[in-house]
Amino acid sequence: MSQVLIAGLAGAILIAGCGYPHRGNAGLNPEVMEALRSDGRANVVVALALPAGFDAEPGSDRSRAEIARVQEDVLGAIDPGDFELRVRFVAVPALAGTVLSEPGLRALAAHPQVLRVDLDVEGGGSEEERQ
Amino acid sequence: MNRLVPAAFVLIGLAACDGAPLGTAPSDRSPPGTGQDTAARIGPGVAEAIAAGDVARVVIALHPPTVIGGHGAAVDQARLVRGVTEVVDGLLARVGAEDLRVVRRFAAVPALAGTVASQAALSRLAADEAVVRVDLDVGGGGGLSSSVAQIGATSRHAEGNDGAGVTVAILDTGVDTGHPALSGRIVHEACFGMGAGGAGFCPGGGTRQTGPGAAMDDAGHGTHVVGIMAGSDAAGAAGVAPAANIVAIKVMDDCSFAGCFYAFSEIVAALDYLIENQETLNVRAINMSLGTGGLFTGACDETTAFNLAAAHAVSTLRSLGAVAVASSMNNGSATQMASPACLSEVVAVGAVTSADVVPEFSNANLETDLVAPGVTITSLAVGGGTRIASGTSMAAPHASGCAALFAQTQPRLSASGLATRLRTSPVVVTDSKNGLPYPRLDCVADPAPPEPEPGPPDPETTTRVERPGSSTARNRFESRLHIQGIRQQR
Repeated sequence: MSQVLIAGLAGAILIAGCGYPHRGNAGLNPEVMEALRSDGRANVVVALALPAGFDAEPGSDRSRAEIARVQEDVLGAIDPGDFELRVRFVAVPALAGTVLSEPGLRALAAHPQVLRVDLDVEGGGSEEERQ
Repeated sequence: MNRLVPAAFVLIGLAACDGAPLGTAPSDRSPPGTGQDTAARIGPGVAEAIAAGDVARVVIALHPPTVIGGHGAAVDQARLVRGVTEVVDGLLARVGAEDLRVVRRFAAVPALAGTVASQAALSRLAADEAVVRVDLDVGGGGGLSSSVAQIGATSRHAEGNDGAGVTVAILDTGVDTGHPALSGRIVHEACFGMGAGGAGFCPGGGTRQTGPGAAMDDAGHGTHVVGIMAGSDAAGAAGVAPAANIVAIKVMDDCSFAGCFYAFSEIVAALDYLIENQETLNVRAINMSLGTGGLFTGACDETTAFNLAAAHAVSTLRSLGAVAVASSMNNGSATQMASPACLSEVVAVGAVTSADVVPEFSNANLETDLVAPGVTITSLAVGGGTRIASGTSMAAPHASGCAALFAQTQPRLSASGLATRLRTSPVVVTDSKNGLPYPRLDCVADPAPPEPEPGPPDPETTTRVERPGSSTARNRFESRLHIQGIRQQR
């Protein structure tokens, strides 16, 4: 039991040391789980957190490298059978893809570098009236 | 995205709380008049059309009924419709059918479309206490000339300020690259087109495409929008920035004229692509006449993962010199807007008629930055020629084109500076749905804010907008625009 506590504390310290706010499942929109349970898959956008204090010119090579590193960290922690990557943005700390399992979704939402997981919503242009 | 909180204006809405009688606001009404008062209410060309022996097809703007709830409260649509009905019925009872033949009544917009056959009838109409203005209904053939002139862009064209050398981007259903009004100015094309079920709707059949033909428009919306923003006069009237270069990015399919997207991440992917290529493309304004089906109250940057991602992209683009502009969308909400208009660093644009009346369909809240012409706008059609459309989709490209004009005359102006210029107008319009004032786009707004030195955008900017001839609190407000990157907001 004490070993578990120590491991947990060490994990927490490691996370704090990395400068990522651990958000657990707080950023998981319940609609994602509903869609997953209903359809067996859910198209999502995953917003990622850059390390606190990271400061680089937006769009710069350094910023892109850090975004790539964070994306890699998150993708490396998720089983490829649980998450199908569709878009890996270059200059935006986010991912878009399809969640394929509940454990995968929970793991994704619990990742310390994940800010939010939401459905990838639809939309369109609009015309009020056709003359 | 506007952070203005014009407390004084809120009082206007509060003054019209539940229980207030229907009818027009006394302070808004001019007494019935003749002579100069009446003449001032008649727009150019109306009397001339009658004198030429024609009936004049006109739009009559009426004083709105005071049926607005308190600040932030939803509009009681039933009361609004009842109020408009009373105002219109009152006018028709006074002027008579022989003076005005009604072509169209609107349910919740205080206006009428009709025809007037005599000078006497026109005078009686213009003198009525309910009438704000009588103008030619330019929808039948007025082209863009009316709306472009309304925002002052025509006078800038006359000075050689036509957007030449400036690049604007459009995220839409694509554009008709063969349209003569766009000839030779489409400098890049791309498509981000994941359709329903994951299939691609890019012209080549995939989900990604770049190069010539990648942004072919199969719906019409994008061609119409780009014509407003940057069409030349080859199809009739010129758009706002008729010499600007165009980056066309297809993100919507042909589900309807207006188009659909099936994953907001495709919009983010298109913005990401612009960031990646900004050094080459040097885009100064990005038009997004599109939005989510769901609406958001207030600034939405941190509300969802897709908004977090889009906010980061828009903020990065702003730091790289490009201002993003989006339509508020057409749900008729007095408190909410769609995304991306709800993002704090997107210039959110609602619609206004040729008579500077905000139409019922135009979404607006405290985050809405400005209004621009968006009713019966004639612009380019796929395959050549023109068509007419209404919506905030038509309003946003007026602002994007205007940004191109500013960028041409002030090439060192930051994207935040461009946003500030767009929000600077001598004309303030009150939206009857929520009682809030909005600057009506004016491309000649003066005085110009000082041009900043090269370097990062100013951390904050203050804009003052006043209507000439009035010093009342209603016509004065300040907006403090806190500009910060998403990383600082986390």
